[in-house]
Amino acid sequence: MFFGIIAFYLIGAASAVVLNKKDRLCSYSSFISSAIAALLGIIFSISIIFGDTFSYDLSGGSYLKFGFFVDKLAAFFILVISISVFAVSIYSTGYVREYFGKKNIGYLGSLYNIFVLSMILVASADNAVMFLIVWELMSVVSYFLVVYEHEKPETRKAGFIYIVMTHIGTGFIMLSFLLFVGTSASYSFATFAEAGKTMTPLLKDLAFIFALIGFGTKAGIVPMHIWLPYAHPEAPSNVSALMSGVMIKIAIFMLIRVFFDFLGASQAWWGYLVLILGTISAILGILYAVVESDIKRMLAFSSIENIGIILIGIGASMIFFASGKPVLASIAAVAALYHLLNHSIFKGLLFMGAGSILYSTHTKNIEELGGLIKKMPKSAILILIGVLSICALPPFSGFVSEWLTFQSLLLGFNLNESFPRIILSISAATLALTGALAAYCFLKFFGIGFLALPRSKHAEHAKEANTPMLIGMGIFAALSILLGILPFYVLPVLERIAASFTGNLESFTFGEFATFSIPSGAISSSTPVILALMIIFIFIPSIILFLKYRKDQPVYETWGCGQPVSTSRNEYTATAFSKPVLMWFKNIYRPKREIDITYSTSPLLKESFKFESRIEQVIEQYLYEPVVGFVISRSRKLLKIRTGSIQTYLGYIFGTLIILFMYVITGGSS
Amino acid sequence: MISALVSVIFQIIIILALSPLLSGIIKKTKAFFQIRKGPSIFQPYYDVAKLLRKDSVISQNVSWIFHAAPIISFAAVMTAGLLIPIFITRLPLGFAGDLIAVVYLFALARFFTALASLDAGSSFGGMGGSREMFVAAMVEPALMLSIFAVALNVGSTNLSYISQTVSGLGIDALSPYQILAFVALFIIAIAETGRIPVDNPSTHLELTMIHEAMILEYSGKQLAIVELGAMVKQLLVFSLLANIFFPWGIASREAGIVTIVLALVVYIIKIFMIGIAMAVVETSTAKWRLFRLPDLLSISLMFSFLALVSFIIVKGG
Amino acid sequence: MAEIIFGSNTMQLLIALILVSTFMILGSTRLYSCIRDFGIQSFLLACVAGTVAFSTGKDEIYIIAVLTILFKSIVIPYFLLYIIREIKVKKEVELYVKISPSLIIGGMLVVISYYLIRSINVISELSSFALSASVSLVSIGLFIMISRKKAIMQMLGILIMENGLFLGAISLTNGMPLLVELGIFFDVLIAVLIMGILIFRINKTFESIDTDLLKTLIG
Repeated sequence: MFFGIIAFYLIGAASAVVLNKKDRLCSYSSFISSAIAALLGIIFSISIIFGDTFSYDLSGGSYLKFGFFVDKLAAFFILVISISVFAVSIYSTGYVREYFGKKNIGYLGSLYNIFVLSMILVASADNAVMFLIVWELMSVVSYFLVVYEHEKPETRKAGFIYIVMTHIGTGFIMLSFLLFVGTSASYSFATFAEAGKTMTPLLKDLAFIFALIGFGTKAGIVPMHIWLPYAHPEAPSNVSALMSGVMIKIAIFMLIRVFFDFLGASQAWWGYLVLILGTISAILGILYAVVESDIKRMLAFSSIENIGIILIGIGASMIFFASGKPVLASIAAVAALYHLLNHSIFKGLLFMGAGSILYSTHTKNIEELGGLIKKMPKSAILILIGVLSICALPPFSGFVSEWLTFQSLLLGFNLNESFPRIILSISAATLALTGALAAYCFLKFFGIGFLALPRSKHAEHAKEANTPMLIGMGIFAALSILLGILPFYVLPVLERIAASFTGNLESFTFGEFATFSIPSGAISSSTPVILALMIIFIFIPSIILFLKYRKDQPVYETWGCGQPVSTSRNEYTATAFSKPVLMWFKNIYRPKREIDITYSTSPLLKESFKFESRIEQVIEQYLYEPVVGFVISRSRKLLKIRTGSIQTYLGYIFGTLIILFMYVITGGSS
Repeated sequence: MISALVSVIFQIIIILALSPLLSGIIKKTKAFFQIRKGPSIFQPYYDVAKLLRKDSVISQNVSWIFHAAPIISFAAVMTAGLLIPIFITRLPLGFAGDLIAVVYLFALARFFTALASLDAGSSFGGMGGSREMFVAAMVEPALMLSIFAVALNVGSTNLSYISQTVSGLGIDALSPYQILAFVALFIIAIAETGRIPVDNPSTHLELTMIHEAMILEYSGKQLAIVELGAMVKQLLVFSLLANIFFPWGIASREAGIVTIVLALVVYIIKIFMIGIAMAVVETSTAKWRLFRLPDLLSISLMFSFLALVSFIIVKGG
Repeated sequence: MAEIIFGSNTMQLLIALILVSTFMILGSTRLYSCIRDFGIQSFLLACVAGTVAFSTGKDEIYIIAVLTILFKSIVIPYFLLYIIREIKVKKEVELYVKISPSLIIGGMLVVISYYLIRSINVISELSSFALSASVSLVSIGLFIMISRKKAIMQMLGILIMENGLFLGAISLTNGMPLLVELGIFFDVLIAVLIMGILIFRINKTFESIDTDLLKTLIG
């Protein structure tokens, strides 16, 4: 089965190359074969979640043994990948029509398949060397996908930042793994867990920090996030959906693996660090998302936010675990996993929605949209479902996971120390602010983008997305609703997965009317009942209104504030809509505005008026730029050693050799 | 089962019947302090009844969102109403959601109202929606912290459980953290119900209105639903204040008919007291500038934080 | 003895209200409301003293309570209002640190005070609330002196600090000897008078009581 999955992805990749010349055939062959592989992946991972772990050794020497190992945790991530890939593949068959005749479809199709395959292999690698190889494959292939539209300079810049950051991350991952190898004397992940028990505390701390930086870079945790808002928006939308929905989750998978399985989550301060970083990521991510008017960039920032929320859950889980409360640890872990699953779905949906908007309007600037709900009604409903989910509104999927996250933070009061209580509650307050700002942000996205009148020619001539795209989005929309109203079925599964690393199975209790509750203070929730009540309450007033409705409702134009006709120029703009937040947090945004007025003849008559407002990326400006500047200036100085003469270069080699000899002689090898 | 159904329906009726009256009483109190005669306390009923008979004039720019939003918002608020103990604890549907779910249901209501505000394409609507979400974003952290303070004291976020426990404690429940959390939630209630100094419910001046700007395009039947929704929400927010902090007199479900009637009377008195207090606050303060509101709400945030900290100090640990 | 009194519900309520009044001062931008809140704070402090007197049965603490009400919640606020009226100062508190950050810093000071008190192990668990409140009052008073421009706010800051010390003293000793208390009262009163006169002088010299202008004195 596992090899069937690999085979189908390879077939997809190969067929795309072979059928390179025929655009349509090529897109069908590559994306349908990846969809089949994804279906196989779903079946495979479910069979592992409910059955035994899967492991397979490829041949190889005793020192470097390659193989696959899929336990429940890895299977869960393969499930997440496969669900997303299934929907995105269907969507892609429609989406790539945009590129027909313009771009090389074979290139996209084959890289897409290899990208997905590499993610599956990352999740199933059982060996550090193999892991690093497929990890690197994933990074490089995703780089190529990011620069797919390489004729745009900003895409190339985004690709550059991405490849640099991701390699810094890989460097730290290697360092972390080498620390384990130093103790275990083997590259196999199975021995890492043993090594984690015997390592000195200092080494453990170092391994933790390196892993956090390394995988955190891929996950997009603040302050390692700077590549994300550049890279994700520039990739083709179907790839963005996978990168934001799935790829950054792979990093979370490895974080859980390293923190819990390898290091045993023994230190409480690790949990605090993860929690604090998660909180900062959540709030900063959404703050930048709110004021962004490029829809894909906004979605990318919101991914940082959601990674933050997931990390809050994981951090809380680590704190509980280190304090010897496995039940609470399990609840927090379930919250994190639930949100992870939800995010991969609604973010995938929203990125695909952004892709549909891009497909039919050729713009991703929210200021040029508007009125799309009439032009593309089906897409609008699907996107609205995604928006409601990401805003965590009941009874959609985001609500369940955010509710669980809040509850797991609240459970911190079962701890005895005062410090975690204060930290957890501050984190909860920040999470609440994040949630409210997320609603603000996506209200802006949907309200400005889809409602009222079109603001430009682009939006006026928008068409409904084609059927495969709608099907792809529809799958995700349906899943968003199902995950929201059926936590009853999802939670036991997640409980089993969380149990595989927190070691506790009984954390939730389930009652009648699809209620689930946590073992403290009668706290329970039942989204189906909420939904049922909502439907009843929607139904009754609708009937009352409907009975009294006259057929010919008086229709009139909106008041145009004294203008003769109300046009789209009267509408509130996206920038204006998010301006209050900009004013509120001006210490973070540091907005700069430039007003440029040219006057004709008299100072009373303005000829043109240009207003520009920009915000700063605080972390980029104050953390990265000095470092980059420092590195560049040092490198300039180092240029001196490049003399150009062969003899000098040979001299360097000679010198190095002598130093290594000395090292061996003085007994450094032991 | 039957008794559960009866109590649910009874609760719906009580909520719908009381909320316009509460609005009327607040208006009357304000009029009293402004030395006016003021409208009758039953005026909100007449208003809603009148609006329900009228036709709606609808902008030609709108989509189905505009038609659906008032009803969805109303439904969300009513659903929240069934999760909040009004005059009996042990709600039949209390298991379906806790305080956090109530907060999110209110958020759902707000989301759709704000969405509809953008639909007509008027600049006022956008302004109102933007401000509403801004205020909501400021309220939320303070709200969550005070929920934490309350939940911490009682050990649950389930509202029936909170009311039951606090009323069981009697006068001992009056602890510093309860007081601090109450002050914080009172400020939040001002913001949530759109009252001075946060929002002015009786203005139509573009500089000051928030909620009114959002619903500017509504008329007739839809406006009736919107108004009723806002009044119900106000009642529910006050009920939260009353039954989390002063739940004494609330009846448990097994209670006899006399206790229930008594509890109902006590509840009405409590709600009206809070309404009058709100009216006093409204008449004695001036509307704050929009960008000074973060200060007001950080005061509330600090009080809820102090509530948490003082709990930790007093209880040790 | 102290445990019972300071663990009691009434006492905790009073202390919580004192903290509330302190944050009201920190969060308001009007001189009038700052002074009014200070009066309320002093009144609450007198209530604390009264409660202590009631439960310990020491009569001289009643005298202290009455004196507190008389001086701190009537005479001094009145005097401050008199100064404001006389020198016709603008009624806004001018700030170096804005309201929201001030409040957050105030909240942090409370947490820090709590940890400070907790690290001193000799103190019993129950009076720790009163003591953390007193330390936070002292530190918030100092913070008010640092972050506000008007000279009147400096006075208010020092008075809040004094209130904090009073609260600390009474919660540690269940009331100091009457003579010491009277001495302190006298000190405070004289200090307020001197500062009031100083403010008049500052106002006369600079035609403002903005302490920023004192920078010009460095020559």
